[in-house]
Amino acid sequence: MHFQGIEWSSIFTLIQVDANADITSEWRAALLRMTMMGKSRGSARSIGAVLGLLAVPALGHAQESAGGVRLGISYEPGYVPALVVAPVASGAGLEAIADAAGTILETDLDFSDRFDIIALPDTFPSNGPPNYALWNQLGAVWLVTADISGSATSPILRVSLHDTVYGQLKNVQAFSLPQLTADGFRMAIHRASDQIVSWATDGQRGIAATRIAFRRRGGDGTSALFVVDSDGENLRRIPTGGQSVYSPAFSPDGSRIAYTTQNESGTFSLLETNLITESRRTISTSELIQTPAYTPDGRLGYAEISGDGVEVFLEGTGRLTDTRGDALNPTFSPDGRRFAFEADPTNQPQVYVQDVSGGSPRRISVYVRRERTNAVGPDWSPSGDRIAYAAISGSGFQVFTVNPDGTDRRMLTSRGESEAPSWAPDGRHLVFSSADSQGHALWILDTVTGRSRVLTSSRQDELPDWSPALPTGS
Amino acid sequence: MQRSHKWAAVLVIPLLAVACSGNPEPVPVQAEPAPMAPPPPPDDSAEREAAASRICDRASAAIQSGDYSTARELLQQVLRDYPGTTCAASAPDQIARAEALEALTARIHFEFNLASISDQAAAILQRKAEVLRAYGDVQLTIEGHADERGSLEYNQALGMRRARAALQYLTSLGLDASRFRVVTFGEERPLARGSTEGAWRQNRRSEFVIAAGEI
Repeated sequence: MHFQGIEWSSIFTLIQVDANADITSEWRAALLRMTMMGKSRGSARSIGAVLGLLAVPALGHAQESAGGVRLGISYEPGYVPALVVAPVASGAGLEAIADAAGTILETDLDFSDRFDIIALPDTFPSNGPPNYALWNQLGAVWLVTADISGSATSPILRVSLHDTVYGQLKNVQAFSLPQLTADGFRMAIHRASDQIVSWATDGQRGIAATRIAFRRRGGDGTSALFVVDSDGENLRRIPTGGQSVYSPAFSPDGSRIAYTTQNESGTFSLLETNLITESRRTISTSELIQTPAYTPDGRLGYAEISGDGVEVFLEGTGRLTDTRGDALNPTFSPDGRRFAFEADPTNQPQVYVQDVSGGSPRRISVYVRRERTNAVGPDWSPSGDRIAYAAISGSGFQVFTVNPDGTDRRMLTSRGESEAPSWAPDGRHLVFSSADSQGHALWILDTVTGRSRVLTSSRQDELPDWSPALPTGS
Repeated sequence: MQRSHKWAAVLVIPLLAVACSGNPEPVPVQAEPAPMAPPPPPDDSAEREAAASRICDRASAAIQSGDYSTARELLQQVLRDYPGTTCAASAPDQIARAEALEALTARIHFEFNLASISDQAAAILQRKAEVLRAYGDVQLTIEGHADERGSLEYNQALGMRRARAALQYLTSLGLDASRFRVVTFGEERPLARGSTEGAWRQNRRSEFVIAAGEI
């Protein structure tokens, strides 16, 4: 949390004394020096994170190939305003809650990838009304202030977002928190973070109050269902009753997860767990039932053996596909009228889009005869405008996105093997599994800036599904 | 579910079934070749009988572990070296049994991403069909497997296609579909480890597990 290379103690004293005074010329210079250090630190961090997984930025926007794939990495980073989270103020006995809240808020706003976070020293003073000119000099466009009041058993978090450029309070809201040690503490702060994102972006959705479900392999050939918060905390196992578990999918309200299991004798079951009541029900059992996905109105789509191959079915409607090869992995558009899926009539799986009401499927991935161009695992963005999927490029799977009509195809990853992308509710972040020689880890990628981070590092994790915004009580 | 319980109740070769279905570790394709038994002692018939009996025990163990070629070699040695013993008297039946089990459990292999039956696979399935006709109460579980390439979910579907391709071929030879059950294990139970074409070729397969019936 300290700026490197700054003699912080002298500046700290100055600010403590003059926090509400006019900025004098002699320490304006010191603050400017500090701001520049802070900026360069921020960019260095972002670039480092990208380099961890992706190709070097020099690849940039690369050429179009004959098949229409834009090879290389293409992102469109725009203006990223700087934001600072002031230390969270608190009454006596509430300091630990304030510290925890401040750390969670700052991490959440950083992980939103919508701000360039300016880090402050832990000892930065937290009292007094905000000095907009000072924060503006520090380079901050947005200032978040917060305080904890109430009691340790029912604390209240009040957060404010300030616009330092216009020198005014943008918005303020109070949130009741459970006590620090309660299960719901972090999620309550995540909701406050998403509210701040919404204020600062004129109503865009944040991703802090979300979770990711995934499959974790055990060392003994079994696998289990896990759920983790979007910041990588609060990992927990969801009992399934099966020996192996596959393909978790959140319901549209985030309260339930559907998934399939396989028992020792090889039989598959489609199940649904209610995450709030922790009850579990078996929906169907079959030689092969797989890849469940909910429609926006909460019905289950899935793939099941039918005749010689696997076809896509929808609860309440029946069979949706009629392919010559296997059709699986349905994903529904936000208006519920179309779905994407993978099918392999040519012995090479490709991604198709079809109307739920019928009609013929249209291929949106690139098929090259006699080359391994397998395209699998589509996921329709909650904002409706893009479909993510994994396709073989060179030696292994990489993550692509494309418009639902097959235009503007982009390759987002280029190293290792990355597959099973799933969109966050903000329609810009993706979670996917990325394999190297040691196994599969889950990564999160911001498709706008190209910034990425590791979500889980157990090397046994795959088939992630990103929840919608979670209901209170989750 | 109901059916698999019933089958479990009538299992007669439980060790074999467990070795082929439950274990995620690759099953050895071929055990170490068994050293041949020492030459027969001259005239002592009690000692001859005991030595032959020991070889018969080893042959039974080899059958139990699925190493049919070793079992055959041992039994043929008894026929050659220990004529007149109890073991030699039962050896022709035991050889036939080993051959039947070998045919029933022989694997078939597939090309990348495909579930079509090659000529080689067809010959293996035809031999299986002959044994199945001779042993009318035998029931098989047909497992479909894929190599590690391709997505986990795609490989589940591909494994099912491979199991069903074998089923379809066997029923086209006139066998009753009710004698078979198909399952897929996708890419999750590889026979050979490693990311080489050699390992992948071994892993693209259907396996046949005796679920019920006496051989």
